[in-house]
Amino acid sequence: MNPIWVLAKNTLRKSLQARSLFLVLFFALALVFFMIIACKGDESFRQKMVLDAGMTLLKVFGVFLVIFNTLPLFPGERDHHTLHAILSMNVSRSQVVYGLFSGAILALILNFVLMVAIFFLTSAGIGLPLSFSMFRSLVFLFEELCVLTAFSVFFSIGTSFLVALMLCFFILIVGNMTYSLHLIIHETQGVVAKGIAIAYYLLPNFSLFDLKDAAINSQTIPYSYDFAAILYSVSLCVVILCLASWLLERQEIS
Amino acid sequence: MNVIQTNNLGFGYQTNHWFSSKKDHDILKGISLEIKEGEVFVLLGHNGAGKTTLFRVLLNFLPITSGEAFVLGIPVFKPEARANVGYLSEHPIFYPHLDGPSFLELFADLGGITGDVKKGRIATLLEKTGLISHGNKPLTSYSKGMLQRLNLCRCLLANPKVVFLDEPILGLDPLGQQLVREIITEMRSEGKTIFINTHATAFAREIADRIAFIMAGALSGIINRSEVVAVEPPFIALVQGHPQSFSERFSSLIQNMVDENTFSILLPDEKTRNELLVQSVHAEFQVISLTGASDPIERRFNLLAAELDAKEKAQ
Repeated sequence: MNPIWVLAKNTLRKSLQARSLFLVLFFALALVFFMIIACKGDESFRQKMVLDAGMTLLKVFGVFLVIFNTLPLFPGERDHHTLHAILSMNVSRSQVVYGLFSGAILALILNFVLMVAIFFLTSAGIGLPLSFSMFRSLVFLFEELCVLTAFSVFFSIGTSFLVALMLCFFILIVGNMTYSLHLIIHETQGVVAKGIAIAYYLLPNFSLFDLKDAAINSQTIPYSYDFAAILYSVSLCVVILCLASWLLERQEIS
Repeated sequence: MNVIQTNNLGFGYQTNHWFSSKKDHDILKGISLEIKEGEVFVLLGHNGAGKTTLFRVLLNFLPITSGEAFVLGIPVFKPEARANVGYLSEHPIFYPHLDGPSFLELFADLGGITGDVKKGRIATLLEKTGLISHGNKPLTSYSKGMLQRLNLCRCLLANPKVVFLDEPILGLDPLGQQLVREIITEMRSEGKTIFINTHATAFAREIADRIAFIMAGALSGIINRSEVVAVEPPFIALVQGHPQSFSERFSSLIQNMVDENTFSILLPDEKTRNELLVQSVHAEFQVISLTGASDPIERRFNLLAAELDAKEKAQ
């Protein structure tokens, strides 16, 4: 059996044991809470409210799932010395990185699918029609969470849990502000503009994946955008995981 | 064939200081070792001497900073060098979310062992280490000794040609220690190469083909077990009586005359000790005291440590 698959299965099992499904329960409770508020408005308000709240909650809980599932993975392997046991076998360090990442993605898929199912059921319950644009924006959100998972793996290898946590939130916030950075570049000049431009191109562009408003306001977005976004997220994940492998290769496992 | 070979191997931690240049802390200094196939090789050293660091370098957890090292003829930085290696850490390794059999299944999968072979091997090893009855208990409920036994199973799962055992009897009860001795003896008879790190000199004397002493990151000497046992006796008896009442065999073993009728003799092994005790019942002498001489390996180890200490003081 491929070591990456073995490690991925074990990581998924670990995540389930860590009771990550409780987050899905909290998500459902939060969604019900917003539904109760939405019931006070007219039908149009209710539909927009549930859609907006649902998508926002999916993102918030998705981010929590990624961060609290992925960040302890690598330190856990090191602290329990299981990393030593794995690396004392014919398993390369990059296989460990890809294995942990794949396991974290499997756990994310499981939890995300459950949350989406709850969201769709709730939407159907209040008579909200399920649109293709809704489904598309959820796929985009999933891509964003995958990129964040890759960053979490990278940070958890390179730093302590607390620093990795801060870096993840930093990347998430700044990544969602890249559109604003783009605007600032046009309004400034000289060294400042160049510095911001470098940051703009180096930082991940999470605002690319934000199709929530488009889904709520039924805006049309060309399908070529989907292809570009998938290509961008996959490339970003590959680059970050390669960096993570490079980092782990150079690390002393003491 | 040398299963493990190191040539002038060195390792050092690098410390980056904010306001000064880099400083190297050498942990291993010019280690040259040749361990043959089927050999039980024991590395003895005090805390911080570099025993575990040497293991970690050989398993590529830590990078080599000078020299070279090979396991089964393959440079240690290649993952293939560990394809036929088993490793038992001094720390109990476990996943809190697994039970014993699933922990072993995970590592069997990683080692490419599948199907009935996997099931059979796991059952045999759990039986051998007395863990079969603990079946589905979570590993968090295992004691340190039980975890160490489980890790011994993990280490032997893929039937490796080379086994690295880091403090294998640490935290084990006497039965567990006996089990480890038996397993090592069995592995030796199967022709496996075993490299052991330990503080326990008596354990080393009992099982090793060769013993190396490591002091402050450098090898201070390698001795054969037979060499030590033949030269240095394990028992000293204080006897009262006339030396003439002794048989010729025991007369040759007399070491010191305390007074006219009291003398000490060195007894090379347990058999001779027992013979002396049996004779003392019928003959005209009396064994006043009988003590085990201090472990010869320990004495050698202490001597080396004292020499190193004296050298350091002289510098």
